[in-house]
Amino acid sequence: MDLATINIAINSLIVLTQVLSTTVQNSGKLTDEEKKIFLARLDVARKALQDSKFPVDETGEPI
Amino acid sequence: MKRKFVLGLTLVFMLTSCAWFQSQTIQTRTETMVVSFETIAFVAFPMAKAFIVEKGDNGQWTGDKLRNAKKTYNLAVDKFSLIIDASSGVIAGTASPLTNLPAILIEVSKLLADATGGTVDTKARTLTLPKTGGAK
Repeated sequence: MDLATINIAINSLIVLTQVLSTTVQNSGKLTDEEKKIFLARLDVARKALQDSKFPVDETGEPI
Repeated sequence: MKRKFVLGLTLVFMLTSCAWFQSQTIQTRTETMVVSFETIAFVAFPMAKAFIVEKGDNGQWTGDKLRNAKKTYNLAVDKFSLIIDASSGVIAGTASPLTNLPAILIEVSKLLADATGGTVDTKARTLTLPKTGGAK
């Protein structure tokens, strides 16, 4: 598998985030329930990401 | 040739997704954004980590090189976590959209490229990253 997947994913995210930023700012049409679900999913992604970090020693250097 | 194909594919993907994205409801747009975050968190980052681990396991990267790759990967994780936090704040309505979000995302791309020994072309906004298998 090619790591170009990262390229495509990040570049598309840049485009999507730009559009989303203005959209969310102007609409605010998400219900509380929808917000809750989206936030929970982002939280899971964030936790998985943090768990994937390489372990470090007390000085912050990777072991 | 392969680089051109990947670049072309990326551009087509970006343009298509942008045009499609504009016509969607806020729910669909948010869903797309969250899926993009999930894709990067659950696919792109683990792939980059597996690449670094493989380089260490087969002895191609040792000492400072391996340590720096791991350190840079951890930095990329922290940066991307900040972006997730910022986007969560926007969805929750507790924060304003970050105007420099694309710049931070490019920074994450550069960190991942550095960690895996790839290169970044900021002018064309593309990354050229090495393959995960093959060369030992």
